[in-house]
Amino acid sequence: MLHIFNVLRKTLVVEYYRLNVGFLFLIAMFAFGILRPEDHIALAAYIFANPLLLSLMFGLWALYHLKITYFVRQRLLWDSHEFLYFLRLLPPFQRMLAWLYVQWMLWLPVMMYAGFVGKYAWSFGQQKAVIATALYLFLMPFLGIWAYEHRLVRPNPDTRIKAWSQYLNRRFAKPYWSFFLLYLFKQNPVLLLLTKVFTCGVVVAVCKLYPTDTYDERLLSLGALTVGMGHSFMLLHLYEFEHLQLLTLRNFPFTLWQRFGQYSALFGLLLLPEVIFFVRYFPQGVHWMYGLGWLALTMALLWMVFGRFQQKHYLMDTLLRHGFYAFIAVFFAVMFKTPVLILAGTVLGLGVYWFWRFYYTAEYIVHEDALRLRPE
Amino acid sequence: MIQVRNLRKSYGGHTVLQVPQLDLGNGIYWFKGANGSGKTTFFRTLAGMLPFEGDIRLAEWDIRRDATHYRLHINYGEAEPDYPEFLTANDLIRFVGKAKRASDAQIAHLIETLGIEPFLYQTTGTYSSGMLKKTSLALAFLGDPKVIILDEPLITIDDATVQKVYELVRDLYARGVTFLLSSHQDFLFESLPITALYQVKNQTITVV
Repeated sequence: MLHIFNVLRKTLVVEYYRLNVGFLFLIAMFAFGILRPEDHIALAAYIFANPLLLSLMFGLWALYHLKITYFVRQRLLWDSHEFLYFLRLLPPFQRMLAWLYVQWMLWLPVMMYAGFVGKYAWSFGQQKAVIATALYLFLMPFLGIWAYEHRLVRPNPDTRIKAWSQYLNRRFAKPYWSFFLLYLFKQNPVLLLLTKVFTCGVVVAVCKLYPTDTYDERLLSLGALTVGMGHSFMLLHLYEFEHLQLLTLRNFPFTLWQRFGQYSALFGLLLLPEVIFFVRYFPQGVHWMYGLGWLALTMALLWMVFGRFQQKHYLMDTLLRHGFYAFIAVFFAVMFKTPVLILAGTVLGLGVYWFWRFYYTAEYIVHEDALRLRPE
Repeated sequence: MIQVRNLRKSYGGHTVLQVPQLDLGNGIYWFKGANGSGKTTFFRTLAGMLPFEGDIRLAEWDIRRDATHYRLHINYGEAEPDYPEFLTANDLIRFVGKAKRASDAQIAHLIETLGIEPFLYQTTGTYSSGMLKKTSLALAFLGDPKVIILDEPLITIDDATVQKVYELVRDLYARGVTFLLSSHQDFLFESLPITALYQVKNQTITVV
């Protein structure tokens, strides 16, 4: 059994953490950089005492669980991971143990955090809520096991095209702007869901928080900053998608202005949900000019991140560390009351400069191995 | 037609291809080389898809200064095409056709000639390697290019389509289009009027 654990650890667990080190780093920076440990304890006391907030917390953890489960299910579709289907030959109990091992190893960050805050909640007399949380944490991985078993017995998902999809394919040719959106919906729905839940949540939160205290517009600008930088993963996927599956785009006779327009339209579409929430919850007393500046800043941040990818190719695990530095730089610019339009103009100028200067020199490096000389 | 000067292509500081000088007039050129010799890198570089050091010109257009005109007149067909699996051949052909300013008549002709109609509206995720190759060939012929680069154009396609590709190449060559073809096999392009044969080896290109 140890050999099985060893293979699963190397192929799934280590790979997951290797690819998500940046994501976890950012979460840790947000969680423990902005909030002190005593704030977490106070927050825990508040959350464990309120069933609604506790269920919201469960919802957030469920999203993380979705992310890890999706990762493993996708890996099972890779040709290089086909050997994992031999797990079918193991007795059911051993197979369950193997999957449980994977799931708990991937679920570890949530369990550790829950253990930390749960310990204090218990001492504050919230035993029932803590027991409910422990049960939740224990039972959740079994959902993952079910998802893996489902994939294991159906190694090749049915790819029949639905009738309405066939009709649309015949009726319309998909426009360019829809390519990446389709990629997100069909090949990375979890990334799309997690990003949009997070960024739309931030927009609603800052808009609702704004009138409750003596906040000024900087709070909204920090929301824009979080929304813009929160799209970094998605933009890295855009960069990779176009380099790996649509490299031919670079052979097209589009001017840089045309390409700028195409990407701007795409970014506008990507930000549509946040814009809708922003307009819907736009706080009273904020000037509409500031609203325009907010939109410009959000869009400019997407351009800055995307432009930076043209200048320097990032692997997933280094992206968020660098993104964090950019976040801090803009954070200080906001806190020092830089007018939002000037900030948006500067950030956009930087992104567009990088795009203009490096678009045709950008190159996708899949792996360090690609840098080695190949034998004749 | 194509002028290459001091071309150097490297990955992470390692030179993979160095071409001090290469001049190609109108013709059909065959580039031979083993797998991994650098043919695809050279072709992608010529097509404006990869960064490099040096200068490349197509007729009066410089690859950097006249980026749009240059790319309008040079097409590239991938050796091992890989497209987003949710797009159909129709989506790709319409998209590339618009970018390369192809007429509806030309699109219809290529679809018919290369036998794409049966799977035109299926998503590429369901394609065999031959169907993917036919799609990539159709994309490479779209528009009114002066140069068409076909990387291993005959692999994975059936004999009937091979003959069609020969016909397309001969027809366009007669109308002044230059072709750069590659293969690692010796016999594939014997029925075409090859202007010159080049060997891609030891990180450079030499005429044979």
